[in-house]
Amino acid sequence: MGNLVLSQQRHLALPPADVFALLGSDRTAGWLFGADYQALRVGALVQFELPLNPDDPNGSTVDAFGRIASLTPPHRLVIDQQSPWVGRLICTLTPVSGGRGTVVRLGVEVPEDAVTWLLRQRGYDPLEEPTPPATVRIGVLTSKSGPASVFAAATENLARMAAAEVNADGGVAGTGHKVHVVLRDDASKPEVGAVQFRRMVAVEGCRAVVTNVTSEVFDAVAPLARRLGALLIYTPVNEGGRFRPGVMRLGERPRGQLRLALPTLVREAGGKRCYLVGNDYVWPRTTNRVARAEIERIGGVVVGEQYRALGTTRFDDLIEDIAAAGADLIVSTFVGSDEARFERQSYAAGLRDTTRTLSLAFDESTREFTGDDAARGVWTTFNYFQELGSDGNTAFLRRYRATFGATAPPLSSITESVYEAIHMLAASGALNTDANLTELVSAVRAQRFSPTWPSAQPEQRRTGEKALYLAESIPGGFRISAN
Amino acid sequence: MSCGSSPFGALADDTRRAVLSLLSEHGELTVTQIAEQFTHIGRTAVSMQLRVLRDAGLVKERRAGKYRYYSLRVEPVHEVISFLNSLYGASLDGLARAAEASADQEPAAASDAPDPTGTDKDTPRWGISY
Repeated sequence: MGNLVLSQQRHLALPPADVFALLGSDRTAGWLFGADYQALRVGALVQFELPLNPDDPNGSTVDAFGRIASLTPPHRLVIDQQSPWVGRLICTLTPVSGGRGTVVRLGVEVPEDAVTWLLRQRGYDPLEEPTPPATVRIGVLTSKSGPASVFAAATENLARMAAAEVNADGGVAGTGHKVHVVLRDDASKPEVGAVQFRRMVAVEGCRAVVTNVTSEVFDAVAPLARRLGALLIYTPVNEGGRFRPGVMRLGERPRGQLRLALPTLVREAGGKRCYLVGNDYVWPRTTNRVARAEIERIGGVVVGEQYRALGTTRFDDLIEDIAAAGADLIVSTFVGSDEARFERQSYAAGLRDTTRTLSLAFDESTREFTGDDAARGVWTTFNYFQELGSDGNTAFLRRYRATFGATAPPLSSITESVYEAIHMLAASGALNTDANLTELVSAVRAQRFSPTWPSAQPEQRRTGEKALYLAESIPGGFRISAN
Repeated sequence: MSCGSSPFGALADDTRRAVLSLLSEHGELTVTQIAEQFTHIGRTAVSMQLRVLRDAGLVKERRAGKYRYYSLRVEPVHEVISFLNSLYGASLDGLARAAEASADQEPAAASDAPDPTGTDKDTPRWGISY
């Protein structure tokens, strides 16, 4: 099947210019025109609330986003929808009735992958097409829906780009087999993640699965890895944990992040009264335990600690409490859209006037969802930022933009690490269809310290020592201030 | 996000997924053949799940003698198309309502309009491009 193409039109009793003026200015003008437009320019982020039941305009909604791909007021608007499925929306406004009315036509193009994903949401789970011989499958578990979905679009792009690079470069080391990535959605839920992981490994033959889901989902999936004989590579910032034979963790650890960031943040904030907040699961709680110890080590005091469930949308009471506690510094371990909302609401409530924030999963995607103004004054620390000036990173970004275009989402440590992991697997020399798990794990572990694959990370990373960068959110991106 | 019968609703439970997976591997199976694949639930529970799947239009039933055979339906693709059509159509309906409200504030424009309801709805169309 090719792309699904849908087309609809409506006849409105307003001139095109008046219809166009509703774009981004009237929240009630349907989910497309009434969406949250960060700016009316090409490349700008658009956040939609899609109705779960389109026949009920007041029913519940699901978060979605896209970017403006082309804009010709008052005639044409093209949006590349990027979440929860990919699609292209072409909206044209044609004057009728001597210019007093408008025919609005909406053409939508949805690729086959997106239709398959929608089928899966309905419980109809078609298997992957059989792959040709001499192909190895690598599973990629990501979050296309739920709070962690802000990372999904870039993750999928980078997984595909890594596979394409491996294949163009002669296939995986050793056998020359081609890589095929199998992308699955955990919906930001542990039970869904476990089902999808089992399926990728047991039914679809993935010997290795790369993932950047939340550690809540990771904890549900990790015990399955050894049982099913697959390697699980967990790429994002994480709390560490006990050794598991079939599991590798690549991301930043809280102690390193906090030790690098806290002295600067305390100086910036002008005080040592810290308030710890986060989503209610294992990574935020473990990180805050480390944060408390690190804060006390430098003579600070923790004046509050609170958690909210994943998927929280309003933080008013928490923000009031932070203000009342007289905090100088907020350490946030909210993730994804929860973090974006928390920062927006903190900004709106004036918290930036009295506090600074260190947010440990505040990557480029989250920063963009928060918006330039609300993100100002938020600091973070990662192994990778797309602002890094290394030659490797410049070439990497050029390849990414050349493949996915100017409207592709920004890249961050949380998404770039998936790209690294796929190259790491391919370079290991042990990735073949009948790989023994122990051999595969030790070959990939060895790759970590003698890397030979193309990387976006700067040279010092290549020695096995990961550089960690501290950065502050400024309009348009991050300013890297220390490593 | 709500659950239930919406296309975005919570993913089906393990048993339901497993039944669909079995059918996609084997093509057509009887209740007994399906139930044999499960150790934690019995034939009655499998029948109940099959009824849910059938009611949801995901599975079809064929009778041959005293046996009933179950297989996957291809119609879910059409349900997805219909969902996407109403979803994207709803965005235009919302726009039409806002335009109508806006036109009401400007009587001159509204009185000249060919369609005072402001919602001259055309039949949605769809196809596949290659």
